[in-house]
Amino acid sequence: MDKGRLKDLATLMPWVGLFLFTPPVLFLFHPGTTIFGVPLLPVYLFAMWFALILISRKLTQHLVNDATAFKAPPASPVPPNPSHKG
Amino acid sequence: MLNSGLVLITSASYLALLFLLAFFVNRLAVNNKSRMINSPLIYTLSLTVYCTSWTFYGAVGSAARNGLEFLTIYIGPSLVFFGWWFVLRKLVRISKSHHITSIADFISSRYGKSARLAALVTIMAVIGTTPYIALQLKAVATSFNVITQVPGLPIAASSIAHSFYSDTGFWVAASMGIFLVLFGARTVGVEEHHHGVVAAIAIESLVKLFAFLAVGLFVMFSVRAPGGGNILSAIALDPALSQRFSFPDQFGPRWLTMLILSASAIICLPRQFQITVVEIANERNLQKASWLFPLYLLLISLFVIPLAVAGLTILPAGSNPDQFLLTVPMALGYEELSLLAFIGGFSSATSMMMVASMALSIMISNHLVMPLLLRLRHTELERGADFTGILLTIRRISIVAILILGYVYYRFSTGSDALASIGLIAFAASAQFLPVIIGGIFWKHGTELGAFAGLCAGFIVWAFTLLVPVFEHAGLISGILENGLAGIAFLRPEALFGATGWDPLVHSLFWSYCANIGIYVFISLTTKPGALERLQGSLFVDAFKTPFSPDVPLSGRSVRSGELVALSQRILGTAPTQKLFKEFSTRQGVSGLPEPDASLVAAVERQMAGTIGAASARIMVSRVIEGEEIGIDEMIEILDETQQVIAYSHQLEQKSQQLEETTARLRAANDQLKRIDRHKDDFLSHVSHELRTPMTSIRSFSEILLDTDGLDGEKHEQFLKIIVSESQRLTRLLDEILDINLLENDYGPWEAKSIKPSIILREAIASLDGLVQQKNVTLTDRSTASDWSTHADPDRLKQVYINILSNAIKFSDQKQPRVSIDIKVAKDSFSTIISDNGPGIAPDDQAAIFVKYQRKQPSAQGIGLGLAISKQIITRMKGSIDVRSKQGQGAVFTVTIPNIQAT
Repeated sequence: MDKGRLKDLATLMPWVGLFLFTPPVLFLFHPGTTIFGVPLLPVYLFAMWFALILISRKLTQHLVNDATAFKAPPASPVPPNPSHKG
Repeated sequence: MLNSGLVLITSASYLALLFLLAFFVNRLAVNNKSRMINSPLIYTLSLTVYCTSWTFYGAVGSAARNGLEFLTIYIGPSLVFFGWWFVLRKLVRISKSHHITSIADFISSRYGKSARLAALVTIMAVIGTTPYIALQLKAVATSFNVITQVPGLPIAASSIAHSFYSDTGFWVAASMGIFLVLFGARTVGVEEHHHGVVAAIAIESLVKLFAFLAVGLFVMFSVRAPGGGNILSAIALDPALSQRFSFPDQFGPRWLTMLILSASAIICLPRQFQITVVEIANERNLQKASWLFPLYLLLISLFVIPLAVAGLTILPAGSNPDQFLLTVPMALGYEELSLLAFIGGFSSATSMMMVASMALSIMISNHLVMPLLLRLRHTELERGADFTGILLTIRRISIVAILILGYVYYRFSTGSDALASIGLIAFAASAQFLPVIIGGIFWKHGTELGAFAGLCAGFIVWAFTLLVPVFEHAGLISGILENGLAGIAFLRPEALFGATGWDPLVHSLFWSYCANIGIYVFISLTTKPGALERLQGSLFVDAFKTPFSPDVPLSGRSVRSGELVALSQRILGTAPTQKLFKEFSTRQGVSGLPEPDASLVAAVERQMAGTIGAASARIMVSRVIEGEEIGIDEMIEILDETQQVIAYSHQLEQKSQQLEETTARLRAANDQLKRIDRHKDDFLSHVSHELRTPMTSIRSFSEILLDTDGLDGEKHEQFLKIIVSESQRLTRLLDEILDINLLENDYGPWEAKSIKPSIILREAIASLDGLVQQKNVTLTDRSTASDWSTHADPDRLKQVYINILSNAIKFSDQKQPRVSIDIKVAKDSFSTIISDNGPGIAPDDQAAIFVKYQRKQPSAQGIGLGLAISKQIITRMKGSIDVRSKQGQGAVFTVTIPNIQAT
């Protein structure tokens, strides 16, 4: 995936997370349902949470490869030269 | 029950270990061996100062009382860290480039380095944090009493001792004070790094995680539900529990409110801002923390539900759920585990108290005491006392004062027993900072007045809706809750403007945010920001776009280097001053003191801001300079221009890239044109050559006939025959050229009717009979009659067959030349395969033989247009013609025509 799209995705992450953890979505998990005797809602919350951690990790690794994002800003107001690739 | 001596010795040795660790880490940091300390892992661990004793004990309590709600306290911050790219990265970048020292400094810097805004934020932070520190003391004291108490005795009655020297809370507060005076206020460094403290809280975070997981795992696997299954299945068995762990009353609004509160707390709690934004050594640390911190939160909340359920199941009804972490192992007879849990809770409390009081002390000294000192004793200060020492003293006094304040609050608060509610009140206070911070980094038009008014309004509503009820429950005031402020029913703290029936927390956050955001936005839009506000605003909002450091000079017209050095030495200390000025001397190329130009003044101001905060630094520098702030309007212009230049050069770059692409395409097109042109030249020379041969022979024979008298009749006739045959050949050549031109331009005569290709093939073979005999070729015709038919021009198709067949016959160079014909009939295509054993065609030439200007056998008859014409014809029939051949092994031509129905 290209850099721009990765950044969009990184910006989108918290909002996707917020959506997955908002009451209307949570109401989908009917209180009566259990899995190994444990109600489904806490299982969903923890599983989704863990999934988001994994995704965030993967995403961050890809973003880190984008070295320019972490370059310190130059100290003087010199506009960058437009580079001409031959 | 545990022996209180044993608990005390354990806690004391734990604290002593922390002291030792902090001491050695500080030593390492001084010797610049702090790489480990600056690592992402240590950073992430230090972030978990978020998990205080409130979350340590209170999460289980909250789960037992309100079900899943406790999870929001952990999920909110996780979401913020998943979005590190969006907000945290910007906060860190801004703080690093502006030498921000605290959350108050951040807000004040953004809104024009306003001193009163910094003071307001500091006061709000102190008011919001003091109950929180008291809460930690209370948690430690209560938990100490719980594990040393004989089971069965009421705990609440004896939780606060009568004299302070026998009170656990006092000793904890005192040791924290000593620890922080030693390690929390050692230097007034430019970037506020406190390695010793950070290392200590990193270790503490491991201790609390370990303690919690140990107790959690133990309970999970040793306590069974009444039915015999694992402890979690008890939820489904009990309808009340089942309801509590799904959607209890007010679930939706409370869940969302607490998500917002905890997400803003991870940014806005003063201690959290300190650790997340100020103490960070490197922006890269955020990357790892973005998933590692949520993982820590997930792990520490993993066993909260089993613990809560176990407590509710095996302990007698009415036990305090906030103490389940201690009382459940005790009830099962594992007191060592309770001791471990106690140490975990103890470390959560101490780490929070350390960081909170450290952060507050920096804010108090920079934003409350310093401005006062500058105002009151300004003449004395200017005479040159050593500021570094004064600052450190102020900070140490502030730390002690904050801890005393917390202790006093703890001694006199008898309010709600639930840890969670006090914590949430503190969260709601810090959440008031969120609008001005987020607005500050994404919206350029927020003004100082707007931020000030918004914060005041939000804070007043918060205090009225959450603090007043607490005071009333504590018996300090009465009647407001029932009748409203001054008896006005509309102003009841928990039902503002008649909004009854809401959860108090949801109610408070809603109205305080309405007031806060509404007033902030409204006043920002209606007031005109000052020059410095505008400048700081665009520097903050465009933190990633602005390529130059905020060198915003005060006017440098009347400053002398000597004064600047003296000021800088007093605030920063001698060594950093020397380093800074030497750097500027080298840059300016002078020996001795550098010229006090704008950038030097700005650099001094910035370095000072890292010690005493932006607002105070500006006041002090402007006093020395005694000029007006005339530089700023120009600076804004320069800033705008720079951004325009960058935008422009970016556009230029894009344009030049487009140009490069266009040029490349043009070059390719040009190459192709040249190639075609060369082919055309070749063709013309071929054609001329071919036409010339018959012409020459016609001319020479005509001349002979004309010039030679007495030529006998026989010779005469022979010459005329030659002339005629050469003329015919010439005509044929010209016909062929015309033919291919017509075909190429799609306006040749073209007749289309239903035909049977097998019949046409037969006709073609028959017409070549004479040639076959003449060349002595063995022709094997394996084609059979077929009813397959299509819509095409029969003469053209025959032309193609004849052309390919005659080539195969003519060019044969074998002693026994052989040509064979096969057909392959499919439903929608008819293929004719003609193979010979002639010289074959080199692979390189196989594509070229169908191109009209190429000819591979110059000696052969014709000018090699035959295959080009065939190709054109078949292409026009939407079929294909191709060749497979190896040099010297004959060639196989395949002509395929599709089934086309008449339209």
